[in-house]
Amino acid sequence: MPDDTAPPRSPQDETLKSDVLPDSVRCPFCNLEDTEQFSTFGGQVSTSQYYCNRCRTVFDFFRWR
Amino acid sequence: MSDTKTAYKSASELSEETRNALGALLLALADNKRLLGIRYSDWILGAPSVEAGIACSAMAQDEWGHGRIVYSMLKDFGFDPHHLEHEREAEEYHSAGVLDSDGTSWPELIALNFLLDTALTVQFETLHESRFEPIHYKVRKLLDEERFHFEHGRGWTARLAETEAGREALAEAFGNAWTSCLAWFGPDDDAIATVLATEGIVSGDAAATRGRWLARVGPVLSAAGMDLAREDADGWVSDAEPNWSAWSTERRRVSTGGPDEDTLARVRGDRNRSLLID
Repeated sequence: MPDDTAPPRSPQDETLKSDVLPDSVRCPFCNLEDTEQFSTFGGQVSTSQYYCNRCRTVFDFFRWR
Repeated sequence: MSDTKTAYKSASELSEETRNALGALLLALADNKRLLGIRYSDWILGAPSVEAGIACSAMAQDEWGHGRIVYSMLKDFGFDPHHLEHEREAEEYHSAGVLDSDGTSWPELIALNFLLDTALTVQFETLHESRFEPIHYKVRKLLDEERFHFEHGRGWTARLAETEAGREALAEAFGNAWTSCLAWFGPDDDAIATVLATEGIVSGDAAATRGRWLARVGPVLSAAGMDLAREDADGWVSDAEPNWSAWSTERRRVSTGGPDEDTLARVRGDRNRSLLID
């Protein structure tokens, strides 16, 4: 479900986007790919962060699969 | 040796000259990785954004991991890894001069991220298909991780260049780091680089590897308004000339001295030594 009560996060600066990572990945909460890169380095080793435009959540994505 | 096809399975199969040369290169790579990790760790707190701080934390961890992998290899080259990691004096460190003392600004950290980290990566790339096979697997993993370090350095270089104040700070920080990073590859006739290239341990001599680095960083520097490198008919070149008369091929630097007192205590882990459990 889109969370209309949470304000959207501002997108990551264009210059910091990674060419190595996918532009979007599937959101673990919405199961949709309406997501974008948020931070190349995540909260754990080997993760990157994405932001879901639908549920407005930042989540960790495992880089190596 | 003229046969450049046979692969070496261990350090003991190398000639003494080649073993000493590769041991020196690996020690210099490990020392630079270890110290660079400290410089990244300085910015885990106080970076311009939470994400940048987390990036520094991740990159510090990567660098220390790479350092440990390489230090542990040096046992087969006649070194005592424990002594290397904990018991050396400043002038025994084979690290770039730009790492001797800590920086004070974010652009200085980005100069290390983009210029020095990339220089080390380019050197590791020359070992990717080395005749010295034990290093292959280690280099592949390291290069995978380093792709993200390069993007971080490139992204922040471009981002800082978006404002006049940022461009001024970049020019100063990158200008100060430039000669030290350029010197890492050594003069064209560098003794160790020449032995390793001739033996097929690395894929290029000093000039070739330096050229590869310049081609990697040059276009980004140019787009950010810095004229440290320029493109001519032969590719990307730099007009800067390190003081080669002070060059040490083992230490891969053009200045004497070494890490300052604070850096040395941190790199050796002096303060917490009694707490270490191996």
